Amino acid sequence: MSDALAAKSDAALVVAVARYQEQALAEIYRRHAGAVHALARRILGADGRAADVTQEVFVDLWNRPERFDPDRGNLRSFLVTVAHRRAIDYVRADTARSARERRSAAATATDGYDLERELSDLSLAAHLRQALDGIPERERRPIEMSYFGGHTYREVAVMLDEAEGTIKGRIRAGLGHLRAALAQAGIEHAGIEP
Amino acid sequence: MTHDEAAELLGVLALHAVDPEEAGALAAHLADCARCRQELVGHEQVAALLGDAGGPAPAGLWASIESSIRSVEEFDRSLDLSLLATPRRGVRPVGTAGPDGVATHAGRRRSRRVRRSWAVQVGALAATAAAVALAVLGVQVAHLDHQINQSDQAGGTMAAVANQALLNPANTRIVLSATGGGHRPEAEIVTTASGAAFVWNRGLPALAAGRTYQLWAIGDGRTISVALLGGHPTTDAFTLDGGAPRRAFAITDEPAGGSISPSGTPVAVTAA
Repeated sequence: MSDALAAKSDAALVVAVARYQEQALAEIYRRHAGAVHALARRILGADGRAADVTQEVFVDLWNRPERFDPDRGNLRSFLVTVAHRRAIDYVRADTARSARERRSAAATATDGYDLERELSDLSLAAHLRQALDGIPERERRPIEMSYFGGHTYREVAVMLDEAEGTIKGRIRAGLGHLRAALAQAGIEHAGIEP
Repeated sequence: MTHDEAAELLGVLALHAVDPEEAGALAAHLADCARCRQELVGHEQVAALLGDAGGPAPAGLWASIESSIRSVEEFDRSLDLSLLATPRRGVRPVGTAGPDGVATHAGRRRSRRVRRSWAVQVGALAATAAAVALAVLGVQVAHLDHQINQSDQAGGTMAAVANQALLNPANTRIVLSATGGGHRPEAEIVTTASGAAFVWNRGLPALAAGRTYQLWAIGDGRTISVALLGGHPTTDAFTLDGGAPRRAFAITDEPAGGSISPSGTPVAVTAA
């Protein structure tokens, strides 16, 4: 890997990808594939589909680099969000009900989602943990079940024996509270203004 | 969907936790509600942080990605003129491009395709451009006069990405009106400084099976195909490289797969 590539910003690398520079995509992969794969694996479990999702995300970036706009946020968040959407599509398409039930059971068995084991960025992990701890359980749980469990809000409502409107409201409020807490903590990822 | 109903769904939409039918209705509301779009962006930023974990990618995965992107490039290099009318999945057919051919369909792959000579086409295209100009009813170019906080458009659907472009006051917004009488808007285009552009269907009726709408960029004596919109167009993206004509746009009704040059009177145009 050249030093020149390593010194380039993510946005500059995407421009290079648009000019068919394969090494630029390789550098982007080096920087962000871990995060993409970790999220896909968290949602899909330890099977080959996490690798499939990761591959799809980077091949899609190669084919459609124009989808990323550096003025609107950072590249990692873009890639993570694309990965999340694709992983959720796999979950929703999974017709093996027993497999979904096993995932749900595994998630339920733990006392909430333990981010501490997943986040490699200790600074971000600390802030995110603090922010999550700061929101009520009734808001945190539906967010975790939706984002990491791949459940629609209607499914979450059934699973938690709550009204659909209640779940919608709690997710909306929870995300708002998280945003406020992270902004106050000075988190600048994904374009959140301090 | 009312505004309050849509607002209730913004958080779950950011988590990709909405049913498809509700997502469609919500997208329609978002197209017209800046306040909801702004809130959605905030929720999406937080959702992206939730998923931002680290660690190394699995060994051997890059080799698979590398192999995949190289197979796409080899396919592009194998294209010849005889294949232009038959689009492969996910790639729109090449329209026309001169020696300095720059207008493309949705991206920069035009530069890798076999270019055709313009010598035979110039006379016919000039006449077509003139006919389009005579058929013009009106032009509206409006610059958006409001601002919202720019945000991560990460991973959004085509509609979400296009809406972001629509909201950017630095971009140029162009309305294509119906030919044949009246000023009814049929389509809307937003062009950006980077060359990315988006087109929305604002009134084009669905076409019969086997037909497609085709979008043309016109100017400097050239008419260049920039996008195939399909028979039931909604929102689409295309690219205008620096040398592409931008003085006018036109939409025609063509056979599925598109045409090398406009085959009839446009259904919608802008002024030259």
